Amino acid sequence: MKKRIIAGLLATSMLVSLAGCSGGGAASSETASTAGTSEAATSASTDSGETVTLRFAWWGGDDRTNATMEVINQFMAENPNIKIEAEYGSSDGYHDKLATQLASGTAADIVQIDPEVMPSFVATGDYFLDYSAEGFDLSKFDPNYIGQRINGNYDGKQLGLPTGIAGPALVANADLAEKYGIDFSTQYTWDQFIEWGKQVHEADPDTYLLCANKEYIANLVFFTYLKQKTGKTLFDEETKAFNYTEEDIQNCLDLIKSLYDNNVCPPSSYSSAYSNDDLQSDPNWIAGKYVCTFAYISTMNVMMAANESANYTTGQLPVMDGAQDNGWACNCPQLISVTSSCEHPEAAMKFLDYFFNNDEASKTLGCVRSVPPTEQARTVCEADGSLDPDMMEAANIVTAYGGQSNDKYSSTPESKQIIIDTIEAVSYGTVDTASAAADMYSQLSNYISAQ
Amino acid sequence: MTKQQKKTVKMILSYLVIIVIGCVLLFPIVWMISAAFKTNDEIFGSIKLLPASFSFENFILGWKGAGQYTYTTYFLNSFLMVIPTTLLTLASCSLVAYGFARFNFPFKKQLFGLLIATLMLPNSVIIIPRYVLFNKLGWIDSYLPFWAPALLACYPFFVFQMVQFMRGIPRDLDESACIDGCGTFRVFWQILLPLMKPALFSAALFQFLWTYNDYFNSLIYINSVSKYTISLALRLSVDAESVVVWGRVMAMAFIAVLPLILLFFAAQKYFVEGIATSGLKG
Amino acid sequence: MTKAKKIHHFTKRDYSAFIYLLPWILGMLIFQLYPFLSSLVYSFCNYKITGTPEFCGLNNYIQLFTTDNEFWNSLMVTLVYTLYTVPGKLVMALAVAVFLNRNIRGINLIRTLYYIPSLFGGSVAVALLWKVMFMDTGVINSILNTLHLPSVQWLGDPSQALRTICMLEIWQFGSSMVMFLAALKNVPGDLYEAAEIDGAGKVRMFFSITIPQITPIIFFNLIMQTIQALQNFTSAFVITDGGPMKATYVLGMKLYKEGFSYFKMGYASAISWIIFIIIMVITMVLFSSSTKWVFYSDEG
Repeated sequence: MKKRIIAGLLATSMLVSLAGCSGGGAASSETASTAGTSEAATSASTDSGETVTLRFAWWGGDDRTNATMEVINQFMAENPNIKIEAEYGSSDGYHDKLATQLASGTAADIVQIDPEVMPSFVATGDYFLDYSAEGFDLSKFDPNYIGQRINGNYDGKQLGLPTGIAGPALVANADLAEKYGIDFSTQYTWDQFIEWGKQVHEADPDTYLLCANKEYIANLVFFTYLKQKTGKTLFDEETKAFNYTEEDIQNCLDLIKSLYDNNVCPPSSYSSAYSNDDLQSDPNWIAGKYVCTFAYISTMNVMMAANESANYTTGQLPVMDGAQDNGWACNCPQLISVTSSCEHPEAAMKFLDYFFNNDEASKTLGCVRSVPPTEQARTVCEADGSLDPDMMEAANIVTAYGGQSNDKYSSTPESKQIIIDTIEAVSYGTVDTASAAADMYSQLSNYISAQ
Repeated sequence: MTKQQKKTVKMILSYLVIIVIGCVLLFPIVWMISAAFKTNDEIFGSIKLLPASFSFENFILGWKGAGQYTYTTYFLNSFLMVIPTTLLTLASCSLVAYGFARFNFPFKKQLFGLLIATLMLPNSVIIIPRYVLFNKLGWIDSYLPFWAPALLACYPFFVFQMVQFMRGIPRDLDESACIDGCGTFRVFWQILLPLMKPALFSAALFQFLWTYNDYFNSLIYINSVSKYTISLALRLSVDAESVVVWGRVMAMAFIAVLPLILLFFAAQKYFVEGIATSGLKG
Repeated sequence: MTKAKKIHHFTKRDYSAFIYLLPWILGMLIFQLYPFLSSLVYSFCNYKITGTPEFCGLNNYIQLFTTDNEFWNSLMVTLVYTLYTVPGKLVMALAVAVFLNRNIRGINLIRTLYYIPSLFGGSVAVALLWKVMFMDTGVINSILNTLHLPSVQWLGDPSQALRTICMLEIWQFGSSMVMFLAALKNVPGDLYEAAEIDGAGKVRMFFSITIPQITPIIFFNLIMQTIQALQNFTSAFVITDGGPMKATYVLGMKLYKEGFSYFKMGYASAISWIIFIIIMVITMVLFSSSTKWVFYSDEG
């Protein structure tokens, strides 16, 4: 009798695979037809007088939710014929859902997007409206800033607008820095940084100079150091060629290895429990046992709030002698885009004009999406007291460095994962830097050739 | 030692073992409850079990939540989604299980193989085509993607479970009913279902629990915050770019699990209720 | 089944089974067939979630078996994970179920308390809980230290992390336990009475009556836990993020990352069909072994 069940399972799998051959056509035609409807929807426009409904999706914590809801309510009070339905949630799975929705033409009209995920959406379809073509008033934005790809400009089309200025930021425990005689207010080199690290850990074996995990080392040390060394980003965006040699990469991995070997930062086996954005839950950070961390402007007050007893400042970031590029670059915290399936683009633009350009809205939003993106919003917030002075200072520092931002291929989750994995192997000491560099090089080659 | 004393000693030992294992199992939960009263510093920085102070602020503010809705809405939504799903699953899966367990029909083994096979493909890759399908049916942003598959027995886990339970019940029972001139449905309804109570209640419990805790499907199918369920709401405040009040998250996670504990407590006497042995002897 | 039954003429009663199967047959055709088949088709396509699928033959499978170093590691991790958690969970669940299957005062409350760990699923609270309990300076290590035992790097040591994840999985043994409890109650009491008269001891009764009587449910739990273990990635995902050094990077997680972080749905579909085949082979082995040890009362 059990034999029959096995036969059944086999027969079933065959049935499934046979039928599979005929299923393909249906699948692709379906995708095509959804794309068709979303294009048709674009051409429809607002009927004046009638109430239109827009969906606005974003992720974020409580403060962001509350501030954004307030802006929505202010706008709806002024524009009773436009109703905005908020779809807020956790960042957990947000882009999985967004990708699914884009593929089926069901995405919200206005969406918040991670600028590092944006390139893969733009590369695979016409999913977003061009702000300029829709007549959006961009005059308050710095054209150089929003002209960068990372800030939403794809081949001259403004497919997204940055919600603010973000980027790397030093968060330093001022008391500890003073205790060890470390001065972050003037420019210093990586070598100097490592010397400080040794000194700190020798003076107190419980204390480290730098609070970091493998993700932060990859995002902030790896990319930056190599830009400083070569003046270029990892890949050439036009030709998809490598800009770095294997030797460059090995050189950078040597630097990273010396961060671990000299106890500048804690060993990976310790920090792996606080991976990704979990650094703020490292009990040693909470207990004030780190002198500094390289964080982001958008997360720096989370890091500061984690240990309320310490006195935190921001400061300069390391730059090597004879750097070809300062490396440290502004990036964009999130993009706000209007999807092409939006049936009422005028109404969406009207709302976003309020969201980005209205003083009242800027005051309400403050820094819930990092330092505001326009000069006007920053002035309004500063006068109002809703501009976080530390965040603003960090933004000024990183703007002054003016390094170049990553190319669109190197900052995708897939390429980053290759880099993070290599760094992890180096930090655990399971490979030497030469073979780690060779391995990373070959994996990145596989990756880029598939793009 | 008298027999009575022996019995008492045995009893005390039993309780002792239960308590020791119970402590190991429950320690994390006790920790979680106490975390609901703690500040972030205490949660991460201290290993003390008891919080520095007891204040229900985390529960009150947590319940209020951020944005437009409170946990009252999220709880009602969860029940609206989960209860019909559970009841429909029970009805459809027990019927299908009856078909598989008590009949001999053409292609039975193949169909049963197909049923089990649908459990074997990981969910992640089916999400998008299923989303496309539900979107075509106009069911996005409603609870129909949960209710409709339950109505049509698309939970093979429960079908299989009930088949196994039914096969544990001797066939003589239904055959004797057949002689009495009972139709197949009446055999199912009057003889098998009452005997299956333990299986039915445990299936109900699991379906309730799993649908209630399901994050990913709820996330994909539900857009409006007004329709958010508990599992979505619990993650609303967790974000890397803002200060997360973990005590509040823990407080709400604890509240969220309370209905499940009550349900289990109420249902357990049914699923541990033995089938009437007298009926079996007959 | 006897040979005579093979030339079976189906009666009207036999065909009426399809009335009972109707909901499932409809559900299968409406909700399950299309997603199932499209994932199979996608596995032969170069398909970014938001793009259109392009046929690429066996490329995904070839890449998986030749150039993808992670795949073999993930496969090993998954098998080890399954080998730890399935027997662990089943033994734990059965032991606790047998233990709780008695009439003492407060047993209802005790059963509920024992089930509580399984009620949380993979929620954010559990993730935080386990991280904080098992971190280097966490509660578990401080208990070890008070007992004068050395600290263990529960999550940071690549050779330990998988075991920690398995412990969490086993800790949530409740659903199998419930099924065992229900099955134990179904064991006819007169069997024990008869055995007692024959003078059989408790242990012998357990192995010669209890176990054989509940084999259908043991079998069910074994199949289900195996299927689930080979696909599951929640705990590895929320607690260790697959690390350290990919030590907890189970196949289910790799598939999820390829599909939803890198948006390579075609590749993810190929991985999931490999998982499908592995599960099917294991399930078939289990089914064919079941003739030897699973006893159904309806077969007499």
